[in-house]
Amino acid sequence: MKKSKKLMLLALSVAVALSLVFTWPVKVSAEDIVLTLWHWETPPHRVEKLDEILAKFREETGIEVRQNPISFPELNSKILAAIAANRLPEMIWVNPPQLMILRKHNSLVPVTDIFKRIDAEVQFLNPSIELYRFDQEQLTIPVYGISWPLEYRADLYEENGLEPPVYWTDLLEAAKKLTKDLDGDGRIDIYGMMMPYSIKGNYGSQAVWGFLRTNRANVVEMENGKEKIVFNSTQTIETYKFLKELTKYTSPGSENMDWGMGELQIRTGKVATAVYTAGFLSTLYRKGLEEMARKWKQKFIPRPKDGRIGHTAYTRGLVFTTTVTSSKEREAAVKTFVRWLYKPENYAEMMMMEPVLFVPVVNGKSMMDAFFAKPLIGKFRGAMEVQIDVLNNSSVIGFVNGIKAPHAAELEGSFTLGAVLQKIVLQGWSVERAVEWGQKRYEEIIKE
Amino acid sequence: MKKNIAENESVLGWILSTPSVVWILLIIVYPVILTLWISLHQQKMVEVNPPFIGLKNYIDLLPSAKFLFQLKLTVIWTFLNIVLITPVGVLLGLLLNRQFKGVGILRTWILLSWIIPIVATTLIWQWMLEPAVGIINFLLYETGITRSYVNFLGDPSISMLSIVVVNVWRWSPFMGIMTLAALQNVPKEFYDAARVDGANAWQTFWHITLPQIIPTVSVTSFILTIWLFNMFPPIWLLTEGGPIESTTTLPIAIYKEAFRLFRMGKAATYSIILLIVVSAFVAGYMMLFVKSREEVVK
Repeated sequence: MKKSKKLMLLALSVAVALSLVFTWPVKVSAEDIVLTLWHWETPPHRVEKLDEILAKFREETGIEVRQNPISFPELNSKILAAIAANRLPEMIWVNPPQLMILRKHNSLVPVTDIFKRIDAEVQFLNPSIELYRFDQEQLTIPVYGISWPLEYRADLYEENGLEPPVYWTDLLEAAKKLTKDLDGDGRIDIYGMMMPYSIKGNYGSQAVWGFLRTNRANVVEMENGKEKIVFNSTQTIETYKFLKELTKYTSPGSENMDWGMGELQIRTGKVATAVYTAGFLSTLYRKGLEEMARKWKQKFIPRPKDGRIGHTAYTRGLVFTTTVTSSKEREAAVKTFVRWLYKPENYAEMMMMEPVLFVPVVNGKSMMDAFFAKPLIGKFRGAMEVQIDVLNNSSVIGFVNGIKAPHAAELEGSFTLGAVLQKIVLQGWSVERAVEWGQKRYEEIIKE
Repeated sequence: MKKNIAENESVLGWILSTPSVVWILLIIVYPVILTLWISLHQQKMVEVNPPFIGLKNYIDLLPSAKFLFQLKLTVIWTFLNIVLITPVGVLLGLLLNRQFKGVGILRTWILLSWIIPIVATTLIWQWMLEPAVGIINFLLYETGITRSYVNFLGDPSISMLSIVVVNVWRWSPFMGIMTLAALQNVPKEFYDAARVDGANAWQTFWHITLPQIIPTVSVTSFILTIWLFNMFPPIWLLTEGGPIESTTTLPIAIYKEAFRLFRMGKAATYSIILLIVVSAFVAGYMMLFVKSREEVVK
């Protein structure tokens, strides 16, 4: 008995000692500060480029910033888990939906002061600022944009006597005319349009959203401080009727298309028109297919005759989480990093993480000069300028006309816009019935 | 003296088993209880004090057509996989058990589908199945088998079957290796005796090989069934539950509820129901297993 007691005491002592070793708080000196940045730019070449930038920053300032690339579908779950565990990184690149999650949990530190200082030097684009301003406080520093103009094969349009489409009717005509069986074997070889109607990833819903906005259709508005779903409208029904027609000329695979599969079809020459980013141009160029890249041109998404210019585009914003406030040194280090990042050469270098895809959200002359001085950007200057214009004419679900819908993340994340088009095309529902279904689905989301 | 030893052994037993018990409580029991607790609340995201709503989530969910459809899809998914993986895996095991030139290389090669990360293999399958530029459609068309594009993942009537085929390709080698391990433990004397008795190949397989490998195959199928009920990556990577919900099994529904709509309470409800379904299956299997063992002993 005595022996067993001794044994028990020994085991207990070892356990206590081990737990102390592993959990004792270690005092971190100012020099030891390591900052963490979460983002979802996971392709290896983007990670590598950011590593280069962070290494340069460390070399110049002695401060270490570690990146943690997280795949986009996992980002929301990682953020939620980190909030629950109180283990948020100091900085995250977010879209508006992620911002809403962080804001709802009071996990953000306003960046208004440093934003103003940087803005005075770089002149951020207005839509990028508005998107992230709440109650006169700026919650993010805009980092870069991603926009989705209409991409079209200028050579094919010209060969077929078609002008680049401006209106819906032009697009429909072009889609019809350019859908062709080139070798006469009874199978279509090239499709006039790539119009995704998928719920795999957000491509389907984003493409639909762009067209909805050209017809002034919307998903949610604010009324007396409460969200009101306005999806079931004449404009929405008109838009889906048009899209239903357009899908007759879309390439196979559109039912399950994500961004990757879309790019695959563009790069293999299967489609003549698409709503897509121009980022694939640099990939074509890097693969020695510059001639093919030059055949693609960009325009605004076509609109109805009485419509407006409307688009989907995102501005990624850099947020400071409450972790930043854990020490003065940490806060100072984060600010040093951000100030450094917005020096013209460093910012232009960051845009090279994915050249031609990342759109600068600044307007300052020295910033833009440094950006366009990059050889690859210079080559596709036209595409970049259209993408910047698109960014300036874009909106995001839940953030139209200056509102910030509290359920924006869920409304977008439900991919209802793509699901409605699936109901129409795959299940043969009438447009009216499908739109009504979409309205109910959105209402159910905001109800909780 | 005897009492002291008994007491000592008991204390020592406690000491030795305590870490495992604590570990199990921490990583299994606690999350289950927490999930159950969340399912009784209208929990959005990670709210600290969500409203308690009792069994409302269960009352809403259980009779809904949407849930029953998802449950049906989960059962179909599991059933199709098991009925295909088991025979394909057993045949693989029988093939690998034969002695021929290159069998060593084949045994290694066959495992590749199981060893390579699932994300990589599934994305390759996605490209191969792509209707406009994928190699499978190209081959089907060039060989005259089809005259138009087959939309493996975009056609709701065949999307589930397409994912099942990909999954069978991935998991059959696992069943094959387990079968091979069982086959290598069959005493050679059994086969010698059968040969002396004049048994043909089929009789040898039916009366000797099969009874010897059945325990291993059934336990492997049992484990696979549990995994399949909970399987997430291949479906998510290939279709994310679409098109039009045609591949939304319960694990996919749970993920969408939790991380697209942030309805943690509902996602937890789904999880608890899935846990009950799987537990019922395990209990049924164990009862049958124990019963059959008892009959063998008798």
